[in-house]
Amino acid sequence: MNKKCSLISLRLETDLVKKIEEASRLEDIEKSVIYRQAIKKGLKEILKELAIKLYVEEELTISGAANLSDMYIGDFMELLAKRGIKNEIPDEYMIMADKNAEKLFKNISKLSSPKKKIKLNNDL
Amino acid sequence: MRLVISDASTLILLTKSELIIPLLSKFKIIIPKEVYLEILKGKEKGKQDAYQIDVFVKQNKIQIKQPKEKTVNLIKELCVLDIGELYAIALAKDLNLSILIDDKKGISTCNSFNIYFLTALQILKLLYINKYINKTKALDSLANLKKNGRYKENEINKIYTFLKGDYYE
Repeated sequence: MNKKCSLISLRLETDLVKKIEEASRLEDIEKSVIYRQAIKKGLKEILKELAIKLYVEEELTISGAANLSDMYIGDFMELLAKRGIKNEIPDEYMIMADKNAEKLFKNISKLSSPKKKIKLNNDL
Repeated sequence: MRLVISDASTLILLTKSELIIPLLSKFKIIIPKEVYLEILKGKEKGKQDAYQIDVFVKQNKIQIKQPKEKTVNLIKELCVLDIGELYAIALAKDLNLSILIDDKKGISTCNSFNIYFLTALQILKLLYINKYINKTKALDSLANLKKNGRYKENEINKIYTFLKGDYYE
């Protein structure tokens, strides 16, 4: 199915246009196809870098950053790991998490019997 | 069976580090539809961990439940979160349950709303202390969490030192 398209006009460096023409000739495909492919690939990279930047700056959560870059969260985490970007959870939160974990594993009765009856479903 | 909420990143980390099965033997994990859709995105891309999580959903070991929109809106008004974490935190608040979450912004929001939060690291430690996994398994999982979880060195070292100690041999 053809996707809805919009017509745009923009100025490009002459060298870039020449490269596109060369690629079009060598691949024997229309120049417009090369332009579209180049924009798609470039945009993917731009969004990936933007997502990393916004995640590091804490503008986005991991889920938001993965969505922006159109990546699976697991892949986005791997990308962050490859770039050496740490999960900077403050020490105080990790101490709190340690205490919460002890409570979670200790107070079995409380957690097995929440105050309200929980109706679960798998309607998806 | 104990209940706990999870967001997508921690669910993925627990699956990749092979802690999900021992955890599911003692806990039922509840996720909102938004987190499930994030997992399905991995399935579309052929990711093994996403397939495994989806099997647990089909087996009802991981269940889907939606928070109240009122709760979602309340959190949204006060904190800027993205959809997966937002709905998971809202669900934890609605059901008064702890949440497994590794996102710093998400954790900060949990703290603001007095919601108990844990990361995959605490799950590893507690599964080991409670003898649901042995030392070899715990060390393997820790190596995986070190790689994929991107935790700070001092946090990894703390658990490593703890696991290497003789007390829980």
